[in-house]
Amino acid sequence: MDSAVTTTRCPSCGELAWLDDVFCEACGGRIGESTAGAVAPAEAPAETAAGPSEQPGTGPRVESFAAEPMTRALTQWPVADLPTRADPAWPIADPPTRAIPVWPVGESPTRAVPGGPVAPAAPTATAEPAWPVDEPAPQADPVWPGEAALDEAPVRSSDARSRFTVTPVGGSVRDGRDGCVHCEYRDLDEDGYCLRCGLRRPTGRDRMADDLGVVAGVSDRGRVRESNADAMAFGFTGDVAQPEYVAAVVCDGVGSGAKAGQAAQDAADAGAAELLGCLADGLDARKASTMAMAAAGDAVNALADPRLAEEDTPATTYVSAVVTAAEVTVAWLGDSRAYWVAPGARADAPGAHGAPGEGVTCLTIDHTVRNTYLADGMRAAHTLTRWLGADSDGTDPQVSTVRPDRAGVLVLCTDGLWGYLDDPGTLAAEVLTHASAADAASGLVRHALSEGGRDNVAVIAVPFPAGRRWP
Amino acid sequence: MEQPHFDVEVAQNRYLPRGADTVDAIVTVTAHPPAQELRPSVAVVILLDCSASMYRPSKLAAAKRAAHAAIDSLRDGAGFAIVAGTHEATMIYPESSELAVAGEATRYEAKRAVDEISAGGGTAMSRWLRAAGALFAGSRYELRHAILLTDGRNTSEQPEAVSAALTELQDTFRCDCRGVGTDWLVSELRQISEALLGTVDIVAEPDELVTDFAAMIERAMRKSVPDVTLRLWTPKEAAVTAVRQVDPAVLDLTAHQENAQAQACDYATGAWEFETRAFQVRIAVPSAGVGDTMLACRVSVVDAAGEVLGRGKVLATWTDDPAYYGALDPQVAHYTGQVELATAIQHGLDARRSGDLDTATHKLGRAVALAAQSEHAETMKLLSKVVDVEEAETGRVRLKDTVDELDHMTLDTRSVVTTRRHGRS
Ligand SMILES: [Zn+2]
Ligand SMILES: [Zn+2]
Repeated sequence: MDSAVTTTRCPSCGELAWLDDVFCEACGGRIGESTAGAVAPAEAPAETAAGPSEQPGTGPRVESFAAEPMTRALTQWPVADLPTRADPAWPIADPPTRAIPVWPVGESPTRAVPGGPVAPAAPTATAEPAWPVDEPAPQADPVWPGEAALDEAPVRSSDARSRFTVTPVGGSVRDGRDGCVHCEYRDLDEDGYCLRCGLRRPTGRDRMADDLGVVAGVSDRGRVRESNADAMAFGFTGDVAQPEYVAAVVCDGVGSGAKAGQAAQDAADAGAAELLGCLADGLDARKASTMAMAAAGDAVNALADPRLAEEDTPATTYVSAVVTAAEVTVAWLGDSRAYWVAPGARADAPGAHGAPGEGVTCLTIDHTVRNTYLADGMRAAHTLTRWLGADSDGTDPQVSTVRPDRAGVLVLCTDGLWGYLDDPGTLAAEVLTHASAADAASGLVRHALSEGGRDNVAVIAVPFPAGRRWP
Repeated sequence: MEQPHFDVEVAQNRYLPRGADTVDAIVTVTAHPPAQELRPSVAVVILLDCSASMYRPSKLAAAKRAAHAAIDSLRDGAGFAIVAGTHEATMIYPESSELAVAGEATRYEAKRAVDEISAGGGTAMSRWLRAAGALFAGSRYELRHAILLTDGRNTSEQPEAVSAALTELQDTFRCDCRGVGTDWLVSELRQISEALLGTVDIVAEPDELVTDFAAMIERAMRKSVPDVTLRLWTPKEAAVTAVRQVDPAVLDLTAHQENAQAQACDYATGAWEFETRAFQVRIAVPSAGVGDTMLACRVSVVDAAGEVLGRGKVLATWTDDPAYYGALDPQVAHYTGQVELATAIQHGLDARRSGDLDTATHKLGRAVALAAQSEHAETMKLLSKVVDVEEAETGRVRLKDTVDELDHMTLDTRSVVTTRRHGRS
């Protein structure tokens, strides 16, 4: 009659335990599922190379959509010209109308990045445009195929329309069913505390991870911020064994608080779904990228509330990538980045620029006051000049297509990662020590956390060409 | 059989500033009886000092009367024995080296045997303790309780003999120690009572022994849960750095660790009646990130059979907000103060005895301030017999020129007795 003393025994080791216990205190085995027996802690983590569709019992972490054909009419497409590398409007010369602190937060809003790779450096001799030292050579670099890619009609495989697979709306929230995100130990107690390191499993969007094999990503709250305002979404069209397109979106919500995280997640989800839908419909990657960014913008604007103060209105950065068998298309607003990494990159060769072949190359250029001013030979704060969402005065994305000459890995990330890359060689070195997209993404996030984790971090890795598990 | 259950309450401020790596908590454990009354079998061994110093008729007569009272308090069926302690241990009752079973006849015989005791010989307490250990070891009683009565110092053997015996006997039975008069050493009896999870007290007047002995036996008879263990689980990179009982008295349990495993160790707390005790637990944890929450310690109350009877959790959350990490938990603050109070008294009295009057004044002044703060009236009363209190709140005191040895020893002996938190501030 005294419910407080209802005990049972561990089916594995016989240790006494509470009936409501999830795990045995003695051996860590699972209690109350006697048919399943105990799970030895030494067993390998649940995540394996097996595709998500092959393990329905472990809980769906990926939603597959039997696709209805996307019905968006072509006439709805934005008719504005896409900005190109040669667009004279870039870099933006106007003073920013809204100064948004992106790093670090909680201190003075427009300070320069401390010690990071984009810490004000002496502008290069080239005045127009001026490049941060670790970023790629000017975009007029002839090796970049640029518009050439657009000349080719998209190849439509027969099943491209049939389906696409994308990460769940709201983020690939880790629920602890696959063990501790801090130390990888398998067993958590009934309240979600790790039975090895003691840390509680992250709640909600604190820690997100997903692995589709051909693309994988990890996002983490970091070790300073109270919540995660970074977001990611990704997927592929067609069959995982031979996807035609692999698409990914990373967003970094501007400001702090729940709104920032929601803006980023909604933008990433809407952007990825639109991107994959358009691609499955046969649109080319550049147009799909622009469409997707427009959909993401709509999603963020839907969060706008006229009662909110201006600085509380939702806004986010955005970077997307479409990877095919032959090329990589990135589109972005703000300071989230895309890097190209290929075997052969040397950690001791910082800023190895050039063609997206050997080495590491940043494919994006931050839309920041600093970059704007650098163009004028000035030092300035790392402050966004373009973003997605309310009050944005430049939602036209910048789009760039490159055609790498060898296999490699595309990495999308927020400043929570690149703020810790003293030089891009660090990124290449970390990526290339791994052998899968999932390991590379979590390795990069671990790097950011071990360096201090001052900001939220989101990282997606996509092996190139599409469909490869690793270059 | 239905079991008692234990409520485990954890008081702590779980919020830590960035980088902090120490978690303090007060774990309050209350034992609740099951629906059916529990009657674990109980045995009592009374160790009576019969050395030559006890010869003074008033002392020996009082000890005999106290033994009578103890025997009369035994409930039927309890195991018992009376041992005379000198430079050796001699069975008084029963004559054979095994426990008698309390009943009409055995109680009568035992009292007659006690009346025959005469004093003479030295004092070798390790032999007394080993005799009790042997009596318990040969029996199957669940609750094992010894009472040691002495009036003098352990003069017939080296101190190491007692230490060795205690290491061997630790956690095999409980021993309450009583010193009569002022010729015994508080430190000697405290060593025994701490190792054997009992109490130590001073009996000023031999006549007080009678009520004290009866009370001790009755208390022993009330114990209902033998061999209760506090099991502390910690994360892999963490460690328990201190475990103390802080209520009803300060008792360091750190040395009572047993069954140490990679992530858990047990601390024996002895037998329980349906009572409340509080424990101070300190854990060293690896500092985690701001916003992270860690299970710093999982506290389980475990009985002799390994059944978990109650549990609680000690948490840690790192934050940059001083409004969170700056708050001191009143329970933790109170018992931390009580431990400091006990230490200040003991150090102050040691300093006074060794002639270091500055330290004595400082420490005892601090003790007065702490006693005032925690409204510990009992301790304040005892302190005021050793120092003249000029201002209690600030601890301004003057050492008394002459202090009755009895007052000195009483304050020392009872320094560990804590008070519960009064009211709320
Ligand atoms: Zn077990
Ligand atoms: Zn863990």
